[in-house]
Amino acid sequence: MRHTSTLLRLALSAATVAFLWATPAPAADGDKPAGAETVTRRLSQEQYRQIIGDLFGPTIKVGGRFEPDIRREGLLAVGASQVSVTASGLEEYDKIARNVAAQVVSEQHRDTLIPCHPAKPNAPDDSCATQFLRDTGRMLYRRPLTDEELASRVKVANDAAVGLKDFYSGLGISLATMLESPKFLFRESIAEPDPKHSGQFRMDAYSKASQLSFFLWDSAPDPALLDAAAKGELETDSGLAKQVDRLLASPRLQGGVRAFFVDMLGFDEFQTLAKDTMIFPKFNPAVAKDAQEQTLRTINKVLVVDQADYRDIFTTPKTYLTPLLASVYAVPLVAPDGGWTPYQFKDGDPRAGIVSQVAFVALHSHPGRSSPTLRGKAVREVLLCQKVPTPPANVNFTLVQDTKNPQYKTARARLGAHATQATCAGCHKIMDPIGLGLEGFDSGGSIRTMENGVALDLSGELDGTNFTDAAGLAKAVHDDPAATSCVVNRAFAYGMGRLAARDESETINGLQKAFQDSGFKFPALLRQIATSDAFYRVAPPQQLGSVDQPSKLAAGTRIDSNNSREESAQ
Amino acid sequence: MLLAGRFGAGTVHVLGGALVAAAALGAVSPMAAAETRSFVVSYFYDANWSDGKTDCPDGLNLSAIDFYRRDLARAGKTHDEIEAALKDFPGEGGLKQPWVPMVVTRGNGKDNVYANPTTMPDMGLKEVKGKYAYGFNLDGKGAASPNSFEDPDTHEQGVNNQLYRTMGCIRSFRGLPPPGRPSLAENLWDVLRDVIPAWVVTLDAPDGFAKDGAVTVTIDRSLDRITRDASGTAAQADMTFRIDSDPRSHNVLQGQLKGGVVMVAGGDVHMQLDPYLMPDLQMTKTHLRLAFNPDGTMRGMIGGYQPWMNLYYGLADQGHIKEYAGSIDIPAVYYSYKRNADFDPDPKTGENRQISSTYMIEAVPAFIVPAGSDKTAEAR
Repeated sequence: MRHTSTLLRLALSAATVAFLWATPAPAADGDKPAGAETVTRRLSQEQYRQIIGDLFGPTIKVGGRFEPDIRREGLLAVGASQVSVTASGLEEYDKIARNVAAQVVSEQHRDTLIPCHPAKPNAPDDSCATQFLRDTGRMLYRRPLTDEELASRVKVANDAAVGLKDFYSGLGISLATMLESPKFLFRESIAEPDPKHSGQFRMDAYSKASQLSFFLWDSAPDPALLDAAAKGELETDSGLAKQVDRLLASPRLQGGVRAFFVDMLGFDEFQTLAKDTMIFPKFNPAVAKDAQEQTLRTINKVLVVDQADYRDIFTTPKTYLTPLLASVYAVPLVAPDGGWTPYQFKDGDPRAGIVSQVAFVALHSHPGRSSPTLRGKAVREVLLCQKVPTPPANVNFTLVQDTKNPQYKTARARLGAHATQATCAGCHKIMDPIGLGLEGFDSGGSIRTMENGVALDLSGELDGTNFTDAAGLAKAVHDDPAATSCVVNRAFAYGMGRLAARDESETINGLQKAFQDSGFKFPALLRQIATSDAFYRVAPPQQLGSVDQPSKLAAGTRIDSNNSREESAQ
Repeated sequence: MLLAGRFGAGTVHVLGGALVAAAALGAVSPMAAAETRSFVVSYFYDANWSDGKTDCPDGLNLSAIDFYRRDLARAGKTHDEIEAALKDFPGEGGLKQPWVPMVVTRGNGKDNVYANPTTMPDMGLKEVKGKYAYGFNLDGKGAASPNSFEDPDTHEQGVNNQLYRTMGCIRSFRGLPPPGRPSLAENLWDVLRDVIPAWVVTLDAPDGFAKDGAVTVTIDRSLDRITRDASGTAAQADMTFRIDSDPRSHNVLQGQLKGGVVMVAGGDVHMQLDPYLMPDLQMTKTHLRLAFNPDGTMRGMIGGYQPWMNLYYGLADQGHIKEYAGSIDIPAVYYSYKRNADFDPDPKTGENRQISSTYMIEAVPAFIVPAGSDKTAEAR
């Protein structure tokens, strides 16, 4: 019965998403925006793993197949508010939960992970169970358990211990029910009236703690943050700032920044990335893994360690390499342990910044050939937040794909011929001139200077800025104002789980100005978002969704990178 | 200082401050400049030329189960005893298999035949009798050299490759189609290269590789192992390897570059290897012929005389396992080695102690750095 009940509750949660607000709500207090509806987000696989690791340590392994995430508006974090759990997914969550719980209560771990010993190991012990479940439940649900919740979990542990004649098995079953509960698997935001702004609503303290922690650490709040929430410290500007600064100063910020860029750069697509090994023998799964890590380490170095200008991620010659990755770059690297080594490309090297790194050029290529179009599209959509229309369904790609065509030996030549078709030219001219600057890198990420015996012309153009090679493209992206406005929008949407609402444009403008004033320091942007009222503001509740009503999507409008308003195509 | 670099796809790494020289292979350099290319050995195997027609006119040697039947009958075992022992041949090949103790002692019924091959009579290994063999004119006698071959590619006369004569009609040592990798040699190297230190080859051309001239070939063992590429068959190109400072596996040979092919005639080579294949490679009067491929890889041959007892124990040290896995009649190979050895006569017995041999080398570009390197060398 427990299992059925849990499944039902999960299904309900998936359908209703807890709270549904009208969007956007009218401003009730002066010109303060009312915010948008709250969103309920399913934990990502990484968040699930991170929470288990935080709570039980790295020796507890999380195995199993998680539900696939979906990307919306350029972010999985936004898609997380629009996903449910399938029937098979429920079964997987159940398996994962049981497996984790079994490890926690195992003889190997129980003495370190369970803070008490039962009076008799073969019988229930409500006192010990209460102690463990209360503390563990607080971390899993990101708030204290209600008395009813705690009592029910203790009862499950008791009943199971009686039946199984084993305290730890009973405790494990109760823990598993919490791990597969929607209260753990979904991040809910609880609204409460905002005393500072009459008629407006804000997240309650624990929702605020989660909002903050998942934003900066990609994990659940730690005990100190939950304590601050319990004491009401997050309701004051100084208390909130104190916690924000504590989280920003933590080494765990790097994990949070990594998670954001994994999402923004679309690295989940590496899961399905394949290369023709006959054409690109150097590119294997290990290279793909290292390539992602290289870009993330590069970004962390610039943004978190050096606290440098965000735009430098597009031009920095400093990076990290493994011996295997160095072979793709065709540079010598000594690392006897096979690990990561700092590396700096020489002045004039075509490699500069993340756009020319293997992760970007390989991810945005075809299995057997490069693609100026895909790369140009990625620069626009991923890095500049500019939407490129999808191609018509009846496009003939034959010429573009014919890499052995004797008349059109280079991608530039093939795309030039392809673009003579009127239906193609319009879009290609906003993508190809960007991506052609990256033609010096093949689909596997290695440098090349020729294609079919013809020297490559790497010149291109980005919105009026001409360049002659990849380094020039990197500089053009660095100097493009859309790059910084894009990351502001992305960071805000990532934290909120939705795009900025129509009446939040001033908030976005303010964030962008503050970002610029900080010298484009990314931690400063995170702090600005995390300490803003807007980050915790929600629209007033108007109705509770029904079981039959699908969850509403995020705000009905979105702000694009130029802050112009357009109706969302939902 | 970076010791060596690589080339390929129109680029050349140049070392020690030397100027960048050529572009793609074959291009004419505007000016001669010292140039270095370096490689890691991806495959190393017996250079056995097998056309399936003329090389083994007497047919191929028996499979293991058949020469076991033959030898056990010679040893006095009855048909029923033999078939009972071989009923589940080969099984997992362990000592509990009934056939194993019988074949191990098939010479005199008590001694290990692999350690004591003369306990068996010479059962007459079928040997190569064809015209062609890969290799080199090691003895300098040209066509007048007794028992010599003609190289099927260069058509050089007087090729000395008696190792091939011995092994070339054993099924697992056939290089079909030329220049194919013999299956057992390929499999052994395929297993070994994941666990043994890599072999690295550095070529230094004082005048660059675009013109004929002197070249120094350095063969070393690395502290590092190869990494396989995405296909799983070749070594990953452009990896970095540290040279093992152990002088036992450091070899410097002087040669000539002619028409883009590196050739060496003379010198000694010693490389530590692995008992699984053979304990070491110990070569005298070493010859090399190495050519570059357009994709930057290198392929060629190394030949010379080796102590045939080393080769024998490279087969015999695993006894029946390698014997049945490769259908190598090891005592018969012993007699064939002894018969075909063609260099270094024993002053007392007059019997030759070394045998001419040739191996294929396949290598991919690599970066080579000194053993003490603990930081990244300069990027190109």
